[in-house]
Amino acid sequence: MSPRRPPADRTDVGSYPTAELPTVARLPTAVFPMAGHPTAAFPMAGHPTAALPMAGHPTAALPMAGHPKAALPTAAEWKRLERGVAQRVWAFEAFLADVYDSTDDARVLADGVLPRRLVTASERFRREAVGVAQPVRVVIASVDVVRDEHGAFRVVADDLSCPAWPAYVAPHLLRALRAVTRAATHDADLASSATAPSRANAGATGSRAAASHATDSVVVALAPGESALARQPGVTAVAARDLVCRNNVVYHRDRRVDVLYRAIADDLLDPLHFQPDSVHGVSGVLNAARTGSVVVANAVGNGLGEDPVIHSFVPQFIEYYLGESPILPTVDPQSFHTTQLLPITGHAQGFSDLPAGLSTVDNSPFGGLRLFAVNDGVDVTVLSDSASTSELSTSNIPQQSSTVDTTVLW
Amino acid sequence: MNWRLRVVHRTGYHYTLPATQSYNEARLTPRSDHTQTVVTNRLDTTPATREYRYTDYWGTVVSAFDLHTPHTAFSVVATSVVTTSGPRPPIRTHTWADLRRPDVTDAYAEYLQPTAYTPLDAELERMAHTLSARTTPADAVFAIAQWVRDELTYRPGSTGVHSSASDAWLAREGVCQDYAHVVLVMLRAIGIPARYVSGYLYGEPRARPGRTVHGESHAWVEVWTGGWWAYDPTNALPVGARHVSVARGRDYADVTPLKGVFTGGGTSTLDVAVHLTRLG
Repeated sequence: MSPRRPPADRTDVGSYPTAELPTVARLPTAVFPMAGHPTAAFPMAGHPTAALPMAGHPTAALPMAGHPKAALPTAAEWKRLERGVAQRVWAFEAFLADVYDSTDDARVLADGVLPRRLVTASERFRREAVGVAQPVRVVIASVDVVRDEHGAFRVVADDLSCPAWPAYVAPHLLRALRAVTRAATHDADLASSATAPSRANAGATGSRAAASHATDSVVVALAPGESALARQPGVTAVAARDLVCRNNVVYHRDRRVDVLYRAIADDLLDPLHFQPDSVHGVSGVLNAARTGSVVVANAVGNGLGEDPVIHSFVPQFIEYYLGESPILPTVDPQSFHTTQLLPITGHAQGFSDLPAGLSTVDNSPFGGLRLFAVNDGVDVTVLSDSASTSELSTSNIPQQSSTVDTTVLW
Repeated sequence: MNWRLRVVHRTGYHYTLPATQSYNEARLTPRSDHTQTVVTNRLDTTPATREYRYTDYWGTVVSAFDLHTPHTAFSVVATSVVTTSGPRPPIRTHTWADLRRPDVTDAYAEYLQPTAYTPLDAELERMAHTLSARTTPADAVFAIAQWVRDELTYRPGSTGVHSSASDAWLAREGVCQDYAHVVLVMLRAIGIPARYVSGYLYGEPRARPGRTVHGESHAWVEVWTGGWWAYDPTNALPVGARHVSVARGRDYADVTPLKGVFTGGGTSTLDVAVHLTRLG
């Protein structure tokens, strides 16, 4: 279906000599007639086979052959993207837990890594959620990348609140949600027993009670529309009116809800704490999460990490919390002025291969690549559109199940 | 001089139609700090509910409770015994230059910014600069509080709980909440970190132990001039043994004594009664 290229002609971005790549700055835009019009640029878009009469001569097939970097990630690049995205998710997770566990005592603020006023003045900071400890705050995230003028991937945006995701993410998300519940239950067990193995082992050494609880855990998806998560076994799609909080326990009919996956904004989630007239929300949910009786995914208040000013500190968060150098650079605003950022082609981002009903994603054109990260508290799994990844390689691209271990320092 | 005060704060809701569900949060528990000690504190509701307590971002003890049986009336009674202490002198360690230091403006940024209840107001800002032009920060607090007290007329019912400092200033009248909000606008305009405090004031300065008086929820301000200290602009009083503080925040919205959402119920009416007894 999709254009095939041997992945061997790609090497790691880090080792790519830039001299080999004409920078866009030196190339008139006319060289890239597809700028802003990706479909026009690729006569084969939508008719992939017809568009590639010279199959077997893949480079000739691409009008931007002189500019191979505009294409989808190579296998090596994909590995780097994977590690880089996982690293960002861990850094956000550590930052959000730090600030929301206790803003007064947040290390990142006390140590002067981030000025306190940037948190307290942020409109995305939810004081109502301070003290709501959750085993994992960012269960699902999306990370958008573009290629810069040298062909290297740079991050332009992260969605840590309620990212929309395509249907193939659902099984991974459900697995993570169950793992998070297991960790929550295990933490609760530990709280009542003195012999606590380290948190890192929580998943592996969960008690039998915790394990059986997780198997039976009640997962509901609260979404304004249809959610692909609800097509997973054991997940129920619910509307606000189907749920009720009683004494800080969320019930769906007579069942205790363990995990509330919500695809609605913080401001609509709990009328007691946020917009009182929200018809999409469930009163009492935030306090239920505060008691630990339910895991809300993603956690309330994650939008703080998306605040543009705070977002600019991600490289510092990576160094501070993980003790690592950032793998993926963020976009240099200057490059938007001096160069034409290259649209990433193969234009699979519209999820056009998916039946319309299966995609929960807005198909608006986006000149980059959207990656999805699923965090179960131990591993971060990075996924991208199946059409994109299938083009990378048939052999060694870990399309949906690769995991990256990154250890948080505390 | 220490006082021991009992506060009984009773709030009643009456609905024209049965309310089937209600979710509530009360911020009615006095705080324990270096100025006062909470001896006992209890919250009773009718119909009975199970109370869940947590401490919010501002350090206020919150009682959350929900009701799931149809009811046309609902009452919340908070009873506390608190030992209070005499007024503390203003803190004068910091100069205007100190207050402008980046570490200060960073640490207290949220107490320097406008809020919905304390919006920017060019006239109040100009006046605040005039009043503070030749004073120390601590004396500016007194000058501004005195000026607001002279300009506003205390008139219960003239403003509502949703009135902002600008509303009160336009009307030139208000209640303690408005006095506090107007003072906060002016203090923040000249760079003094300032916050809103909710609580109670025992009305009689020389009451004998055992005497109970009708009271009301009260409000005043705390300012940071090298450390936090409190002042009651409505009464031009230092905050002392007759004041019981409950919650603090940027403005009234952060300390709302009782808030909730309910289903059904038609229209609701609310009555509040506060009784203060000097115990010792």
